Amino acid sequence: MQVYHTTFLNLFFLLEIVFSNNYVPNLGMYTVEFQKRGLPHAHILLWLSDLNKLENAKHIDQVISAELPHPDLYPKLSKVVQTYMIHGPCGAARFNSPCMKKGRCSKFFPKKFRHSTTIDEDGYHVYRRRDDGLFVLKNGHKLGNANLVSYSPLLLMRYQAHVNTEYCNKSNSIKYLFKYVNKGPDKATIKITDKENESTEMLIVDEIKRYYDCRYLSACEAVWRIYGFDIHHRWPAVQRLTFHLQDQQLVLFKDDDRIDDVLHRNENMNTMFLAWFEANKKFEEGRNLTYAKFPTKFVWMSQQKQRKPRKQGYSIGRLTYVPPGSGECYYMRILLTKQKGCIDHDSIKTINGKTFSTHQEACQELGLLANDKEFIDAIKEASHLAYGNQLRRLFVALLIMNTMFKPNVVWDATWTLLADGILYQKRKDLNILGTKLN
Amino acid sequence: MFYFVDFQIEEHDLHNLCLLEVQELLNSNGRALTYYSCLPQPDLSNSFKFHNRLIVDEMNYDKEQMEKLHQSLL
Repeated sequence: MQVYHTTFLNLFFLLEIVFSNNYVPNLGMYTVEFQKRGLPHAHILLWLSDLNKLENAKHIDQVISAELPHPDLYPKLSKVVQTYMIHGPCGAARFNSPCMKKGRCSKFFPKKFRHSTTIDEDGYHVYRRRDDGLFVLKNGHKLGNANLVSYSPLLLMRYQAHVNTEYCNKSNSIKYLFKYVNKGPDKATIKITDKENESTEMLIVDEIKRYYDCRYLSACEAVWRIYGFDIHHRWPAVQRLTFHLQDQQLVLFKDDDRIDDVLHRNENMNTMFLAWFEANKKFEEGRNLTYAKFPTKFVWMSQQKQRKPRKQGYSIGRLTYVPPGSGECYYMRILLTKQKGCIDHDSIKTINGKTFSTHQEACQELGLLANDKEFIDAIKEASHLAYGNQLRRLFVALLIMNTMFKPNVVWDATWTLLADGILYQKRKDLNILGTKLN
Repeated sequence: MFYFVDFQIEEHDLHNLCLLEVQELLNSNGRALTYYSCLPQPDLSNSFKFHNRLIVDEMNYDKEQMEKLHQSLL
């Protein structure tokens, strides 16, 4: 993960290079925010492709450093690091440093020295910070490797700015980035008073006039917005792929539309799904792709309702979620994750040259269906501990969430367990508990 | 009072009662059993069978035993 804090143009060029030239082979996203004095501040998250993955501490050391470079060996880099990448002084040396929260540095500087880069129990990386005696003087304080923000020498030299680079293997960093998307602009409260007109006479107070809700835009942010640059960007684009059973496409109409008009309008209309069939008939290059992989090579023209071979860019597709209880549509979704180059609805149901009448049978042929054994086992297992009414609740929860393929199979196998307690309850209701009359 | 040895519910009735219980739980979640067409549907006609003590007492014959008796007497 990389956090940038740089000048306007630098940031723009960097985002341009990284995100528009397909520099990132896999995935990436960024958000830009503007700090109080107007400097742009971007958070960039990149996923490296398998080829470039940083697998061990040695790889990480090659890319990310948290040590002062030797001023004689790397004079230029050393100067940049000293200017931009030192944190502090804070702590006892400077209590009013902005990073100080409750008497200690909120960024946990100065950090401990370490011989080598390691990964701690929580999966976080601790960078190598050797106690090599190098230091920089800042406001009369000696600051060494313990006060260095981790950086990438390459990026630092290229952009000459504060570029914090971190290795990260946690998915929660995505949440961290999205926080900035939803945070909204910075706010401050300002009160404007008129001292000269103060008088002892009765004042008419217009509460609305007294408080304005204004927005502060720095010059930098204004330019960013005027040019319409992205504040937030994700790459690659994800396309949500819709599909439907044969002759069951979604039709939109208004309450007062005439049925003939609706029919006429939709009769020969292509859908995203049908266009996939047509593209497969027309073009050869998509025939070895599944429906979800199709957007990598083809684009969907929503105006013309057609799919055409992709000339530029990259996009991935995701199939819409279908709950297991919805029957054929669910089985079709399973098949779509496997079937390639389909040209009509029947070809989805065709396995090894044999066309099945339902999607479910085709799934079974491919061995894609798990049976409901897990649900039966779950209820049986629960029956050792739970009362009948609790088991019935469990069964109903499974029913409502549409998780079971065949609810009747589960019912037949477990109803005697589910019925537990009913007899007891009836005896109690009828007040014949344990009564034996002879 | 030889007929009132113990109160039992026959399997057929128990099955029905259990379905009714499930039905009630589903109803409180805004669903109905009819929504799940593959499941057996409860027979509502005898859902009140076990509500009245007097009727239960009257109906509580050991039918299997009586059938055997009937067979032997023929």
